[in-house]
Amino acid sequence: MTIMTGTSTTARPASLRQCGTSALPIRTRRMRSLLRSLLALLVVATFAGCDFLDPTEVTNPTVTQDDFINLPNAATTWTHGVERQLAIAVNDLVLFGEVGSDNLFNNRTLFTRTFDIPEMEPVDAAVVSMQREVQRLRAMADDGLNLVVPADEGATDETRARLHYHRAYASLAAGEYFVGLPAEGNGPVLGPQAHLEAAIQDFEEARGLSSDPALQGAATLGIARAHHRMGNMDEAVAAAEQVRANDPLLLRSVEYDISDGPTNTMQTAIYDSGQDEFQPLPRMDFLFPKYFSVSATDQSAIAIAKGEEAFLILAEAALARNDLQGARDLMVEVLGIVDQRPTAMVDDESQQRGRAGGTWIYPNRSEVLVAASPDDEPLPGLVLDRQDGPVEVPTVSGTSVTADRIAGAQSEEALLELLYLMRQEIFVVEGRRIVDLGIRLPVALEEAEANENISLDADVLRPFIPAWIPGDRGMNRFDYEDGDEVAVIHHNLNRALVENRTSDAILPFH
Amino acid sequence: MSIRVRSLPLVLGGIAALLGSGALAAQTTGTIEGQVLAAGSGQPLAGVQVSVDGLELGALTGEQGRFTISNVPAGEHTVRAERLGQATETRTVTVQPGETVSIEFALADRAVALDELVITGQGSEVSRRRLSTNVDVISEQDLQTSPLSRLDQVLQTGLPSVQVRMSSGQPGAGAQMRGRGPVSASQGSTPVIYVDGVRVDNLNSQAELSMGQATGTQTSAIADIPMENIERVEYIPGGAATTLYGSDAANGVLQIFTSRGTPGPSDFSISTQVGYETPIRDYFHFPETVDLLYRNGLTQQHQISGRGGTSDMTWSFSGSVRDRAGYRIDNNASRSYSGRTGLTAALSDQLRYDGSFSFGWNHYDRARDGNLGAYTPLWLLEGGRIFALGFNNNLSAASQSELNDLQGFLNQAEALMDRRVQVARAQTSHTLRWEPTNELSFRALAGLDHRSSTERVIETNEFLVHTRVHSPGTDDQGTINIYDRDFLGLTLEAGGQHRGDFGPFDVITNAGGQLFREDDTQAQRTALNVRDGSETVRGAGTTNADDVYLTLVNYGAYAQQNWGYRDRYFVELGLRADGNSAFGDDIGFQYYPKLGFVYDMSAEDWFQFGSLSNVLSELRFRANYGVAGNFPPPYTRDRTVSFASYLGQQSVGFGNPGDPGLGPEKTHTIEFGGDLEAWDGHFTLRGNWYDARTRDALFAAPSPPSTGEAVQLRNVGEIQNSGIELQLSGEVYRTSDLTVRLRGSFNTLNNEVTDAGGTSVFSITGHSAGTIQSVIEEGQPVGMLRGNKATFGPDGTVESVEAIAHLGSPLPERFGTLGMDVGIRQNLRLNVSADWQTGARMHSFNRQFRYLHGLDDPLVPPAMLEQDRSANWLRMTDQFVEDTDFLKVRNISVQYTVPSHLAQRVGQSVDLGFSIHNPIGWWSSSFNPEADYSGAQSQGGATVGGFNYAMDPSPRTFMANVRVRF
Repeated sequence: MTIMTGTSTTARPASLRQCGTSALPIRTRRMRSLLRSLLALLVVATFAGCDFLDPTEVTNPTVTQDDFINLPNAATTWTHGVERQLAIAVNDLVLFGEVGSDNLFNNRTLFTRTFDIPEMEPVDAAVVSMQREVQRLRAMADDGLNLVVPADEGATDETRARLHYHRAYASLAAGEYFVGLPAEGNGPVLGPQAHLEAAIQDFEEARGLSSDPALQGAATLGIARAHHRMGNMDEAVAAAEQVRANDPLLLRSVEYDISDGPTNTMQTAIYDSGQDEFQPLPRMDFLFPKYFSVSATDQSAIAIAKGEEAFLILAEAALARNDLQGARDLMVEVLGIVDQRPTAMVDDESQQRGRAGGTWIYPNRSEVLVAASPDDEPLPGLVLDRQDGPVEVPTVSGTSVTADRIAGAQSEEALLELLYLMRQEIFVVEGRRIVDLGIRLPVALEEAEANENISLDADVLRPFIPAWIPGDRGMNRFDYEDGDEVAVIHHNLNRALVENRTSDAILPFH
Repeated sequence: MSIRVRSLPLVLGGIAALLGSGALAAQTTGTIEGQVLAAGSGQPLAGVQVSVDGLELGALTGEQGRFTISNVPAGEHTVRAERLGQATETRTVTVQPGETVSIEFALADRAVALDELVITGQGSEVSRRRLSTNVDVISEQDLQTSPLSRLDQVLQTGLPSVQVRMSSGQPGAGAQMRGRGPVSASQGSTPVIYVDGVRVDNLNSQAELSMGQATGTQTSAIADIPMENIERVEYIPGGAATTLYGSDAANGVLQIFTSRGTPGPSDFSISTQVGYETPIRDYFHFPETVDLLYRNGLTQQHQISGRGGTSDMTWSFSGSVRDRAGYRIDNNASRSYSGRTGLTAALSDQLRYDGSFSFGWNHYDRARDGNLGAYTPLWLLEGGRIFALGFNNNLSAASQSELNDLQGFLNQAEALMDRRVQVARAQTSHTLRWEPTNELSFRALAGLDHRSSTERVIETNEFLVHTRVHSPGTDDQGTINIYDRDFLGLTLEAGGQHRGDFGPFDVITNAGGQLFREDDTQAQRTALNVRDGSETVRGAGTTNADDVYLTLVNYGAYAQQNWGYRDRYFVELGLRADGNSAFGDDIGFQYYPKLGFVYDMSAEDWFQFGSLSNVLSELRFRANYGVAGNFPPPYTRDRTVSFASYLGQQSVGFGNPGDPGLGPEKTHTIEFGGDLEAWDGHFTLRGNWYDARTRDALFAAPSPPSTGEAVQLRNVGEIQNSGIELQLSGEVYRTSDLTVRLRGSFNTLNNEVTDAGGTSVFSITGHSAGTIQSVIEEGQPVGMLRGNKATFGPDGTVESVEAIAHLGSPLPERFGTLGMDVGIRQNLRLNVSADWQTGARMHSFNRQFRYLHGLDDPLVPPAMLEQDRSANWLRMTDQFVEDTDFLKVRNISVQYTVPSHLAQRVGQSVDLGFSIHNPIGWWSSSFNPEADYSGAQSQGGATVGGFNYAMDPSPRTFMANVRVRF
């Protein structure tokens, strides 16, 4: 090698290059010796299989599915994962379902802004997310029953029952919320009836396998709910009567985990963010916040099965049979159940009903009366004073309907309207109202694009939004300005439901 | 025919034999001495190889650019000066026995320097003349005269065919870098980076666990590469040029070479830069925003460096400290310390060692930005949202009293905000070079890059109460989030090069193997229910942790030959084979071939005669085909489960769906080009046309919802990029006292997802389909903006809305750079550089929010100002998408070399300088077309930008500098 400096030129004599090793400078000979030694060391180390010289080893720190299935108690852990997925799916159904109804209006920009209109296109992120989470719940329960449980000798009937219950809930949601969905990965689209029948089958399996009365009761109520949606009055009544007799205060909820997630997103929207995200229809104000944090580390649960529903189904069946007094009695029984549900005192001072930068200003004083429509009498007691200290709110069920109002309702129509108001209030922020209104979501475009069983012009890619649903955010509109004594809601959708009760989309027993 | 540096030892050895008799030499030889300067700047150039044609004698210049070649036989000789990164110059001298001849070289900075030596592929240096592909070079001189302290800023105007956009003015933020278009729909367009042959962390997006988010400032690993002691930067565009880099080079390769020093007397220098940063008012809708949130911030940098050496060993070092007060009222400061050393030593006549080591420590203050919501000050002010906190959101109409109140609120909020980043980084490279013969050389390299970063976000109860997120009296909502990332990259490489001459043929053969490994360990510590004042998660009401481990190994072998015939026809053949731990089990080794042709017309004998040669001094044509890849992220091939704690118990669910057939996406590039040099190098033109098709493109398409499965990367797509690259440079004026050189580049880009592989349209950045998002869709450019497009009726109100309409591409159709270098009397230099683009579009959430929040907008139909804004703001998203043509002058700098008789009172030389970064610009949009929140949604993911949303624009910077050499 030749090294040149800036001040002189040096070059190695050619004679040295051509000579043997002995003619090389001492430094060169030593370096060659060193190189030979290093090479020898490398060869020895390589053939000795020295792991410390192997930089190619890579281990995936995540467990593969094949490895997991063979782990002890895999079925228990998997089932708990399915329950976590249930919480995620319910989060979506509740969050978007409520905005897609008249219950809540997205008064800010976070979360969906299209469901309020309502527009529910197959490319809408909320549409996609809702069905993805519901389908994942079904698929995880499927794998649990078909792969994990058979491989786990320690799997119990109770575990199987829970998996059947959760798969049933996925099928129930598919049958209630969507115009249709595949029942398996890349499968053909099945209509609501098929999903509801699958739900009933799994609820029955769960009920048969479980020895837990709470799960049995929830499964029975699920059967009643599915039959109700299909309009199978006798079967629905039979199941509802079992709940009424055995567990009228039945309550099954999904819980949320502020530490590890999922968290209750609806709670964020109606309470935690402090940014007036979602605002309730003025006539529902008194029910909020149904979800809140008592401390920094807790989250409210969301009910997925409540005894009240059995009574409401029975009352609706009674009305369908024109048994008005029977219906009144059942509705009063519901009030008794609601009275037994807990309430809480909640500091909701940060809630400013749109005054923290919302789209619309909502009434926020108790002296404001609320009319359900321009044709309805303004009623007191529906709006709470939130700036004057903690407010009392129901944490499970609440209603503004009283025994006197029930007694005063003389017609089937009047009772039906009250009954659906009770459903609206009792199930508020539980994602049920959108189903009662008859709205159904389409199959996602990304499903159709990837699923050979669905054509891109299929009817299932269009939502079903009934004609009685006002557009242009009409479900949520009301007349009120600060200082007004009355807030007048534009549309009383419970009345619209009654007027259109013969439609197959709503009031299933009529 | 020129003498290549590699051939010098042989011929010098032969010549040296003649030196055995000094007396004989003294009688028949003379000496050539002189100095090599940089043309234009007049700066001395160290490390220039000066040689005598035919005699194969030579010398390297020292720090002052001086050289001496002794024992030169008497007679007429051609003396040649060549250096990596510079064009070659020759001089003819006549040596008289016993006498010394003085000559001076001025190595021109030309866009096309065909004899320039570059390092491409995995081999040693080779003349550009032989290459069928491009290599762009930023020289040490360019780096020294640049006022910029970040690599990506330097690249912004230094690389004529690469677009670099500084999307955030926050310190250490990621920049978007893109060469020949986005070749991937799943991975970023940042080129792979090598420092002294060692592959380094080039993460230019959020990490898996980080406080950065897709919709805000993300920390970049490029921003903290120590800029000390850099001798040269080479950029090799993706395609045939990067084939030998294999599965990781489709975006191109950026190589950084650091200084090892030069033989000669020790040379030390001290430099100081002091100046200030100031916000650019034109970027803001409300001038009041600038007054409320920004200020002028002092910035300073101090550096000491040295280099020197002997014939057996050379050395260099450099160390600096940089401090920025920041141009916001708070949360924008940064500080860094960095140093680098370089060493080369002759271990024997045939064996040489090269080593370098660098260390850097950086601290950045950060502010909430982008789509973080709540207290995000730029959104509150420029988006009109501040009314929600009780302030007048029409800042221009606000009274002084209202502004004072707002100022008080902001001051307190900014003081309470606590977001910080710290990065420590060490790099080292060690190379042994063995040259048993002049034709044969080997090298073995080992090196590491270790980058350790910590991001810390503390939100106190006081901050949350002050910013109205929680009610007064709240004491349990404070949080701490700490994100640690530890990256360790290992590079091992061994290879050899052989040069052979076979009559009219000569061939350069490179072969070798390379292994690199990345260990990326990340951890998140979260504390909830934290009392104010605590900066540790210990003792919090609730603590959580999360972690991520990403490990990847790539191992490959390569071979290439470059055949030359009569020094005018060249053929390149190459192949790389790679294995990779991220490839699926069914994949095996992947192969990347290349083939190139070069015809150097100017080497023809007939070219040298007549009027043609008076005009055209060089003319060369090139063509090539090559394949380069992008490997998938670690573990995405495996079907896994996902564990999660739920209510205090283990739970498990679907993880990654997995794909045993997962392989790299491969970009196949065809390129035709030519290089032209006219009027003795005073005018140069380089042109390329390329067509790059990424086959088996990795699409992170969502699985159909019915499967219940998560996103899985699959090799299903195809993406096409094609375009023209033109680089022009011309010396428009030259006298003995004044030289003026202009340069510019013009690039076109046609990008399209030509095959989506049956996947549905999916978003890479942005929001939901109902707002606006950047999507991958067949037949459209990567990242096409998609959202609601309104049609207006006769009354000017929305008549109908087209959902998920195409609203434009954030990718420019044309882009390039402009520059001017002026040299006056060798001691005054003026440099101006700019870049530009046309044909791109961008969405402004700032504007759309202002509309929603009741403020005037001159660009929407006037009737819509009277409509229910909350009902309409998302129905006409297209109204907030604008053309973003721009021409921005990035730097104006003046450097003055103090006359030596004055300078020598303090040192050998003194340079004074003044520079302005971002002095002026023009842009077509109503907003800054660069401030862009759309970072990648996942670590290393794809993004093309397109969203102006509450991001701090880069500041204007004024700097004065003094450099003294001793």
